[in-house]
Amino acid sequence: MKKISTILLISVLLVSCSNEIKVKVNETERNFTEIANVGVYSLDGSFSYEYGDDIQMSINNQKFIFRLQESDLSSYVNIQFQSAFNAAGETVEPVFDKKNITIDFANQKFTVAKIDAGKVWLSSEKIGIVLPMFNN
Amino acid sequence: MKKRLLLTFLSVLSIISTIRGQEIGANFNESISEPLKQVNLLKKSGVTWVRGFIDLPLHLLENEGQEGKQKILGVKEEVIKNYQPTWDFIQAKKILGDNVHFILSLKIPFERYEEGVPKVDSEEKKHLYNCVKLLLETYDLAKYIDILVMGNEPMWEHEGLSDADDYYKFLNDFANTLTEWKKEKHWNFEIFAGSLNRTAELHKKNKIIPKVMQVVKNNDNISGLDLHVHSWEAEQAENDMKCARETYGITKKIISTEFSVVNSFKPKETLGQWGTEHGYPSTMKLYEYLNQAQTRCNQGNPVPYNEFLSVIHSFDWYPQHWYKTFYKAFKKYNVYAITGRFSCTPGNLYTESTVLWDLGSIYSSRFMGTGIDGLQNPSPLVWPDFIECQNGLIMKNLVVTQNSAFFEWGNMSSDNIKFKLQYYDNEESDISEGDIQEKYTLIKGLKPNTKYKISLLDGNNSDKVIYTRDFITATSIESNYKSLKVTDTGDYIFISLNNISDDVEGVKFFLDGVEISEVQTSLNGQELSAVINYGDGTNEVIYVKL
Repeated sequence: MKKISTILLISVLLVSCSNEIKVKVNETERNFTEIANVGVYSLDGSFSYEYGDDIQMSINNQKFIFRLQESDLSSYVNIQFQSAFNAAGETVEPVFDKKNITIDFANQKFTVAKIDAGKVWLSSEKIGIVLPMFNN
Repeated sequence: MKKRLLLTFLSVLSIISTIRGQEIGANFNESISEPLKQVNLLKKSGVTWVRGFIDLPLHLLENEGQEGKQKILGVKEEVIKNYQPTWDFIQAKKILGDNVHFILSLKIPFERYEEGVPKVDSEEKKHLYNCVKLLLETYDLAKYIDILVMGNEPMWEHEGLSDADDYYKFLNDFANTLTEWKKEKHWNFEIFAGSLNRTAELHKKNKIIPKVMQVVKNNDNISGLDLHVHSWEAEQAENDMKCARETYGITKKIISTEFSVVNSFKPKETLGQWGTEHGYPSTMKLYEYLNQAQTRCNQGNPVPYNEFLSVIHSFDWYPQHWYKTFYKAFKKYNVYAITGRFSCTPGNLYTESTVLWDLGSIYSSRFMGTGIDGLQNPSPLVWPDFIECQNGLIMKNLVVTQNSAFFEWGNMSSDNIKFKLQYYDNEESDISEGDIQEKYTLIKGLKPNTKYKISLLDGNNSDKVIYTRDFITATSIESNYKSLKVTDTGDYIFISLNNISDDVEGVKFFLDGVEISEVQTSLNGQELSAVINYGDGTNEVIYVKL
């Protein structure tokens, strides 16, 4: 009986651990689409590069280019898209160019997670990007 | 011989007849993280130069053996690549902007090594050069400095060594190697030798001083000389500058990155009559008074400004207004930039043998506390002279970008002054000229990484040059991307665009959607933007959050 109780306890713990992890992932996703500030974010919260105090933002609406950078270009991430964004759920294949940005964009497939109030939320397995809608 | 002397004399005269610089800055010695910590005070002070040094053997070289018998074994690569002080120094430069220029001195005290100065073909020299190159490359340090000084007081560090010739050869080789790296990496800092302390007094006995003077004169890759003046009398600055200009015929730029009358202070001296008159024991020693002043300050009750001034002025050995006297000498001998001790923060109590460097600072939270803005209060001993010198500057600020130069003018001797811009190495060139009608002059359309010279001419007699200043435009960044630069000089905000390329047809600046010009007195708004129109009909907008 004692043995069965122990097994049950371990199973409950495993389930609760598994649920906790799942909830955590959902929490990250939910948090990401709630981020208002334009920027590039790692979904585990370890990195962000945001438009703000020291970081500038560049937009080319005709060429679908979005860039965040320091004023002396000692760090930047330049992201070129093939077209403007249409609807949530569509996949995009941006081309990245970066300097002194620790986040790794390789093998990341991006989906439009949300479009709202002139902004777009793109997410991949590890990365989230918030940027203004291209406006022709 | 007579002809040569005459030519030297004339060339010295021709340099001295035109004022060139005397820009005022702040020295932080080995504490190169301090400019970042004190960045708001630096902004408030209006200084336009910042200087610090790195002791390479102490921090960045692998050494073996006991002091004096050491050997350079290699380079501390990981330390250099992660060296926080370098990072902090660069961050301070980024925050202060293009109108504040940075000087880095490399302290290399060779007396700790058995070999002394490394021979130009030695392994030790290779390690040292690898160390310097990696240091300059890490975080792009080289791009953020305007002057690199190849030493720090070598006349002390090599005292007793008989390798003055080796030091000459080393400086020669080092300057040439740095120049090769500059070309290869598109770095545009200027190379200086030095820094020599109390040259007038020491040059006859010290073997290093004449060799440094000689290499500065002979090597075209060396732009100038750094002189330190740590003395007990205010006349030392004049004597030292005169020695360099006239005895050694140095016509290149001179900077002074450390200067003080530190040797005049006598911490054991009693307060005497002044003490009796001001409620202190006449037998109280100066260092005891200073310790009491610091304690009072720590308790939020600093001694009154005038009392502090009065106690130091009561000693007949203290050269009152030494800062102003030094500055007059710097001006007379055409010193390009000076960086004196900037600040003095609370620290350990003094003893009777303490060297009172702290009394030479412009600001002093140690004795005067901080203001309501949280920044250090001025030191009564130096600050009034500093402000007077600063108010006398012809040029208050210079902001140089890749394609433009913004000059903020200070105290002009006349209201009829013209400017003339030329290529530095071509006296015949005439790129731009005009009247100085505003408090500033903005010149656009310059070439990146090019040396220019601006001259101010008497409007009534255009042959009379009253001021010159050379400058090198910023190097093009190795990227096609454009970026916005916003430089706040205190009085003006200058907005410019980096990496303007041939396909750019026009640039306009906006503050919260309203078009503005590139020179503003304030930016009261939420967002600054630049709209760049390209020849292919597309446009790029760069935004900066304010």
